[in-house]
Amino acid sequence: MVQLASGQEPVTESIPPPSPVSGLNALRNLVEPVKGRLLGALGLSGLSGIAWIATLVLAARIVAILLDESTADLWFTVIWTGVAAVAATVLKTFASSVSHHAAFDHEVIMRRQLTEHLGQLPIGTVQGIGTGGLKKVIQDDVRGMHAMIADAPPFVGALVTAPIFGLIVMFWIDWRLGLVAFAVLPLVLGLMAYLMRDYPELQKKFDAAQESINSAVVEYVQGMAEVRTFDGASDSFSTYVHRNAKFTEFLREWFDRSRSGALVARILVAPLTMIVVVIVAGTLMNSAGLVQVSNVVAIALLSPLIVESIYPLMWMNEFLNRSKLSATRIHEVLDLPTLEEPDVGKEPSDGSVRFESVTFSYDSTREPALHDVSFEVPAGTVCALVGRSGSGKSTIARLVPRFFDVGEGRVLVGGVDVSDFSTDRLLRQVALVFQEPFLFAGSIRENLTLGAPTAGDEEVQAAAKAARAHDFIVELPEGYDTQVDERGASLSGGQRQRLTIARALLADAPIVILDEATSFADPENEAEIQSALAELAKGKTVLVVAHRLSTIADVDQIVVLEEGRVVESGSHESLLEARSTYASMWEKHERAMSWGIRHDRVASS
Amino acid sequence: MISMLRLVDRIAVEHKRVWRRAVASSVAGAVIQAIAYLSLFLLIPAVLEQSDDIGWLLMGLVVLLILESIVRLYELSFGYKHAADVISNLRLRLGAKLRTVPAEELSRRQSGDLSTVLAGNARDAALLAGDLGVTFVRLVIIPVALAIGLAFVDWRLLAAVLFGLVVALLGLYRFRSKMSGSVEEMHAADARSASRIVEYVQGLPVFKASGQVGAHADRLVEALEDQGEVLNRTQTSVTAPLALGSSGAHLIVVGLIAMAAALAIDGSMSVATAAAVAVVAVRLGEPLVLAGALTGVIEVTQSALRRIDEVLEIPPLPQPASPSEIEGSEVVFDGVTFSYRDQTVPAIRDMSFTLNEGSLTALVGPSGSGKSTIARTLMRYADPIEGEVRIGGTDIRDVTQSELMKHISAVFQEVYLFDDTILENVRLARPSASDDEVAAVLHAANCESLLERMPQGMHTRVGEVGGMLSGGERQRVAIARALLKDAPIVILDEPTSALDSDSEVAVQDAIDELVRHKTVLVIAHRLSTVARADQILVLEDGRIIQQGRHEELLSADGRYAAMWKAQTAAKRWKITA
Repeated sequence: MVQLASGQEPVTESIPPPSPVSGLNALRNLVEPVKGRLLGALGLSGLSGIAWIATLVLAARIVAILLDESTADLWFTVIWTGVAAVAATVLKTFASSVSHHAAFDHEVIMRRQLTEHLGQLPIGTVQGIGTGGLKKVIQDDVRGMHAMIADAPPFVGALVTAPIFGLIVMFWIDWRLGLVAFAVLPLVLGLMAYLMRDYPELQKKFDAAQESINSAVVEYVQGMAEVRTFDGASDSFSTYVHRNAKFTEFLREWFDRSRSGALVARILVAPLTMIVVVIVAGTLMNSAGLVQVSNVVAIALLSPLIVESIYPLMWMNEFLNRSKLSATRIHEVLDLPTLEEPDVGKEPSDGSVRFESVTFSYDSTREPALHDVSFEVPAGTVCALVGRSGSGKSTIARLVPRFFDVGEGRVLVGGVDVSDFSTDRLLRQVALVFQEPFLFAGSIRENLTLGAPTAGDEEVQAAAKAARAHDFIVELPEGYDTQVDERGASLSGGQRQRLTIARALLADAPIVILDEATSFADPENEAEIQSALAELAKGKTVLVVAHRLSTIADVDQIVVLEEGRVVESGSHESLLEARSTYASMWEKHERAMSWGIRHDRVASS
Repeated sequence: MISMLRLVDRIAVEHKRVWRRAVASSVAGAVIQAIAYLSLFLLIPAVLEQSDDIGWLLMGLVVLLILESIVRLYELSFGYKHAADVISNLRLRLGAKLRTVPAEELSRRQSGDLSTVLAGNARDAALLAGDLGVTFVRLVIIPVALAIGLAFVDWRLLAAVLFGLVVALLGLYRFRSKMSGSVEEMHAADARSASRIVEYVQGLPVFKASGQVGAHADRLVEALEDQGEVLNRTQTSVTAPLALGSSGAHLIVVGLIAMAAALAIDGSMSVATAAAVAVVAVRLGEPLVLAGALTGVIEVTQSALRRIDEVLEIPPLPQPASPSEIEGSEVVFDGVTFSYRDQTVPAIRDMSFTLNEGSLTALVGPSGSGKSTIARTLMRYADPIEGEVRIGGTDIRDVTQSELMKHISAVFQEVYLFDDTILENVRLARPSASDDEVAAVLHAANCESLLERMPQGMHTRVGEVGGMLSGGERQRVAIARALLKDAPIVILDEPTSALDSDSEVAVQDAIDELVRHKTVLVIAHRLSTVARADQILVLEDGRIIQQGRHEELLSADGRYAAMWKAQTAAKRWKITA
């Protein structure tokens, strides 16, 4: 089918299918849950094709009756023609109804399957793909399979039955004329094969050209602000222009190469051609006394069907290819390996955190992000991780809640290897203040009690007060019952941050992990967020990813990282005395904090 | 459908004539096809009578087939000969368009959406629309031409056509009204499910901690089930109208044949004519069925066309008829009120201040107070509702966009680097700059340590090292860019605490280099950074509430003094268990 269509329609030629095998396999696996209904739709569609053949045969019969001038069965035949025609329509509509319902149920099944799977993946993997990418797969790609599941089956069944039964009936009516009609097929197929001879190679080239223009487009659009600011930037526009020209050149070449053959095919595989061939041959054969007029009319009615039934799929081909691409992307997400969890999770003995010779790499082809890292944070103490960006401090923070599994060594929480916990148990153990503050669409109260559903009003308010959030909450129109809209857009960044701290306070996890940079996304509210964080840290084991050294001068332990290795650790004073890495960082920090833009004013006018 | 033809007409521009010729050829081809079918009204009687005309008639039929094929070649030429150029021109036009629209329009649209328009939609428009358009024309014209022909044979035959049409239109009407009732509900269900998916992904760590994942993610599952239910319900409600609508074409076929049979028995139509009606009836009905099958594809294509049209129709930033030139770098905001589109409250109100030539001005205030809006207004992100912005005495609306940009360099926190070498990314600012000049500004912007890490120094492609560049390093490349440009006015968004101290010191040094001898506007986050500014504007709710030098503002004991106090306290906060 794909081949047939590709030879005839520029539409389909220019947008070749992705790697067909993987796409098809992905599709086959993904439609499994609605397979029965899809087969049902195909069956109904097949019956519809047969009913339409019957309609045409009956119509031919009417012509024969009239030509015989015998009217015996005429009205009886007319009624049956009507019945067959209506049956063809109704069966097809049913097929479409079945396949559409199947497609909509399939959407729900796929989305639930995908989100369930996300729940079992390492959180690091999920965050690596990103919200936008996952939303696209779960919402758009799942919907993208609609063409394949809902739209195609009502045509595919008839595509199979109509030509086959049509040919059988034609041969049965008059095998010689049937042969004439049939002769067009091998002619067309032979032509196709000739046209398709270098298709795979062209397709590969097309994919490359397409990819290159697409990335140029994305870059051009995303960099538009830069392009404009440096308006002399004909430079980047020229990349776009250049790639566009190359794409055009390739497309033109493809069209040129396939044009003559494709045009011939398109003209041959057309209803008019079929009919003229049949009528000319039929008339000549009739003159020779080989065939009756009524039979020529019958075959003239039936023969165009062979070509017409494939049209709808040809038009849909482009969308079917996109469906395949969507299916491949869905499959890729479902194929991501899940986090292994123990059947029975262990319980931690206290709130301590320990790294034992941990080596970890985000990607096996890259340098490990952590080399043989060991340190211990006793329960109830504060440990700060410092180092330049890329030194591995954020990675350490992500390994404690098991966002990723370590390559070598162990991460222990409360004396238990993090992979021996059930995920929810582990995450209840750890409060994370290093994400974008997350609020869902619901009331403030619902947001605060997410981790502690049984908390009463007093507890909620106490937590909000401690997080310096109570004051602004009560000023909102409905206080604690105020609805937070999508992503908490009506609240400032600092307010959202304080709400998530209040939530963490209520959840009362013994370990707090915090990243300074993201915690202070809103510099104006810094002081208040800091007080809130200090409340959260009270009596807890705290692991802080520090960016400003002044904030951590009084912590129990500072771990200094460089290129994924622990190079120093100790208290602020002892590290300063050691006059090594930390001491020089401190010096730079002092300089940065006291910086003011140096601006030599030109003599004012 | 007509609107689709018209949209293609609009986007084809240089190829409008080819496109129109393709459509006209399609119409002509359809008419020839109809005539060929109608010739059966002559041929069948001739065959039955074994008349001598048979030979001529058959030759006529073959000639019609050849004619139709020739016309088809013209019809297909749009798709096979010119589509590539149409796509190309369309992409260039869209690309050029993006450079002239107000920046505000760009930021209102997600960059992903715009990319889809330039990449996918532009391609679909020319390939799909061109092909579908002419096909659909053919599928509609053939039945119409045949119906007209039938009317000449016997006007009573039209009754059957009308009957089928009425049934089809009735079904279509019911379908439309059911759909229009559900469309909004479906969009709402889709939107809700999309936002719940986003929420689920973003909040996964929190939801996992409370066991609300997979089947237990109640809020998500509810939205997903609801979405499925709305879609299913809509499908159920349109099934009957669809059956009715699509049976119309088949009813026309059967109706015509029945009518012909009745007329033949009645004696008012010859048997031969009735036989010809049967063939013509099927040829009339089949294109209608196919046209019905096309509608889904057409709808999708049409929305692609509409999105393209929408981008092409964005009004460009008004350009002066006789542009002036900017002299000097004194910036004056004179009673400027600016409001973002779709927002009722202005982001800055009646704002007046002056940046003296060569001076440093800092903007401070909470987020949302209007700091970024001032910077954007100066770059003519969009035009203000009231007041004017002048540089060196010239209203920025009286100069061309490129003249304005010649005078301004900007360094923001988000730095976009193109997938090209670092050298070319910097050279963007002044294409005529030599490699040595670029190397010099990279040095001045403190990029040495960064270049040392790159396999080919400044000739390394950014794409190859993507993740290797930290935020601070990207910022330094942006500063190098601005240095190379050497514009008299510098707009600067101060780097925040996201940078580590090492990077921070390096970026700070680079900034000192950049602002030397320039007229500078800084969006400040840390007050100590700008304590030495010539002028500090304290903003709140889009207004200037305080203005002066650091010492003056501190002694005034107002908002600025309070902020200063809070920030110095914040500097040394303590976490202790």
